[in-house]
Amino acid sequence: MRGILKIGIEVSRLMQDGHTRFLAATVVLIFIFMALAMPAQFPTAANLQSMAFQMAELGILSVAMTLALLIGGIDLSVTAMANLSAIAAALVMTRLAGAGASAGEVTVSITLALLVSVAVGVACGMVNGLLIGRAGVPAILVTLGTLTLYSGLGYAITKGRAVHGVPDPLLFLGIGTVLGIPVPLITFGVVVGVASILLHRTSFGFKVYMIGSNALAARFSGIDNPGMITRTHIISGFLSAIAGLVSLARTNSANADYGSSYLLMAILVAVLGGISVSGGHGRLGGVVLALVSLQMLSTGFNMLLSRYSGSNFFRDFAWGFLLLFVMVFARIKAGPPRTGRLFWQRSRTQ
Amino acid sequence: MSFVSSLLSESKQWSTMLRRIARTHESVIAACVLVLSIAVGLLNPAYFTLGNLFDLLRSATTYGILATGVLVVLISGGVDVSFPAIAAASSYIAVKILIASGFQGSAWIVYALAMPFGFAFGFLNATFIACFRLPALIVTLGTAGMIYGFVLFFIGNLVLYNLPSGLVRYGTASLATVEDATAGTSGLHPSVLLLVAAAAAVGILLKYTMAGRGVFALGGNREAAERSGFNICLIEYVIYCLAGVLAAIAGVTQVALYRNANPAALMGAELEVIAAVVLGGASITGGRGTVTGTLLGLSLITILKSSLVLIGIPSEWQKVAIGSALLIGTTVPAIRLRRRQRIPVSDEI
Repeated sequence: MRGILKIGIEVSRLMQDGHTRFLAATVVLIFIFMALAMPAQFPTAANLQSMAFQMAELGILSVAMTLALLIGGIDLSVTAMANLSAIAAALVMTRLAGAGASAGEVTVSITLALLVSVAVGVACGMVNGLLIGRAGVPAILVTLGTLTLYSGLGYAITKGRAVHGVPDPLLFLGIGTVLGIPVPLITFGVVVGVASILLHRTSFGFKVYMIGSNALAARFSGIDNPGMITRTHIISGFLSAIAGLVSLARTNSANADYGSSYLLMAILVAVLGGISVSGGHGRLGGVVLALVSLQMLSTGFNMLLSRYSGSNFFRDFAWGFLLLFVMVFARIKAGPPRTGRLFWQRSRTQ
Repeated sequence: MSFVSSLLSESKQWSTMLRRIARTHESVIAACVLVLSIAVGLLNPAYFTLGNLFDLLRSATTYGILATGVLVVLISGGVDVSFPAIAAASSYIAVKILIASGFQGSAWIVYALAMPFGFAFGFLNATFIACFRLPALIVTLGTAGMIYGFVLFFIGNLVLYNLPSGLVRYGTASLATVEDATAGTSGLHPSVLLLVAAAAAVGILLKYTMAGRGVFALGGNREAAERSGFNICLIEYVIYCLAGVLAAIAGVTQVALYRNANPAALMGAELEVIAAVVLGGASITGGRGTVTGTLLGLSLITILKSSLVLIGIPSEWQKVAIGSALLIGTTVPAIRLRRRQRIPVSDEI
């Protein structure tokens, strides 16, 4: 009872934020629209479950992206890190537990693979973080370079081929359900829960927001900016590795360019969720709502337009449109930025 | 006596000037290109043939034209990830219209028809960026998705092979050809002239026009530029419309060189082109960048991409090499800059 009350308070606090309210309304509107348009297909348990399966990977990557954006940077290497860790895990498992391995061998290989892939993700994130935090290279440049480097490494290790043949127990992470809830969704829920506690309830999160909104002020108030940036990117790499594992378990294969379109989609989800690209603003709740609305849009339009060829391309159009629409709406509501004016306003500098 | 001292001071001036030139980013990149070329050429003499040069130029043309547009955007402090979408969309729409009307004439008509579409898409970008003051990265991310989606869903998602005959002739034309016993015939494609023209136009725009100086001013400090009387809104329109038109030109060139029109062509090229421009010394935060540097950065990436095979490095390691080059090319100047300024901690993330 107390738990429910607490969640209620949390939700009502979330709804005080105008952007979150707007997103929640968007989610409801899209759901109603799709449900009315396809009453037999859209609001069914099977469809909701399949949407939940598809959401998780992108969702986890979006959380990783959110962290990087909040501290005032960006992480273009999330998909590359995810793929590289998935490849590492897949290689460990296929080498150690090929066909006819005993149950013990399978368990050992899976444990080892999980450790290796997380280690790869953390190491990749650390390289990003050190170059951004200590060397002072802009995040967009570092992660542009490491995006090429990590996906190149994945490509070089696999020679461009996909790695197949993951032991069956691991597939549970990707295609299993607990009480009808897909395991990837549970993973995503845990990631969001931990990340939101980290961001909104700990001094770590407070410092992330401070560095993101004013790095100089943060430094003068005694925050170790380079260390914080490094740690944030390590977490981002860790989350990417988890996303990589989920996709490995869902598709039973890993390759160097899997889901490269997820990169821009992760940025889109984060920005649509109200995370400021210049850092320091936005809450994780908005990101989750944005993810749900985008997933419903793409599934819904896929169903609606399934008789036309290339219906999945309409999704890109709708997503781009939604992103621009939300941004323009937010801009009109929030007014012009600190310097300058909007085109219909008179200059303030005169 | 005074003659000697004046000579001395003059030679000192010369040496400081030479040192300053040697320290510029362009000369460092040029040295890298030179060293890499010599290394590849020593290991495989096939590198130093005219035919190889023609092939390198051919593979660099499309990206080169795109890079000149991206350079202007980056100098202004913005970033554009929609140019591959604009290139693919405007060339695909133009070719589709011409096929439908049974047109078989010159390739220039295709260019002429594609450019207004590129302009329109650039105009769309500029409207969101300049009028609504939204971040360029996000806007172009959105328009890129919209443009790709629009073309693939509403216009068509089939690769067109039955190009107008004029475009096919243009695609196989060459300014000069060389015969080689082993590598066969290689030709210098006329679109190289377009790259030269685009580079020259952007160079002149940036250096000798008021709008060009405005681009640098905007990238250096937006508020200062506005207060010193630059019409920021107009400049941003010029920047993004120019990038759109250049993307359209690159798109038609790509169609001619590949002899097909693919609505999803160049998807994913955005980061590689931006990488080339940044490697050429353009600042991602704006205010700095040159055409020479951009072309050198592009050469470096092109050589890395196409010549590693010549020295026996397997092609799957290409991306590792490019990524490392990009990381080294951005980290070393950043560390040098920090040493010079003695700033202990970064303020710009």
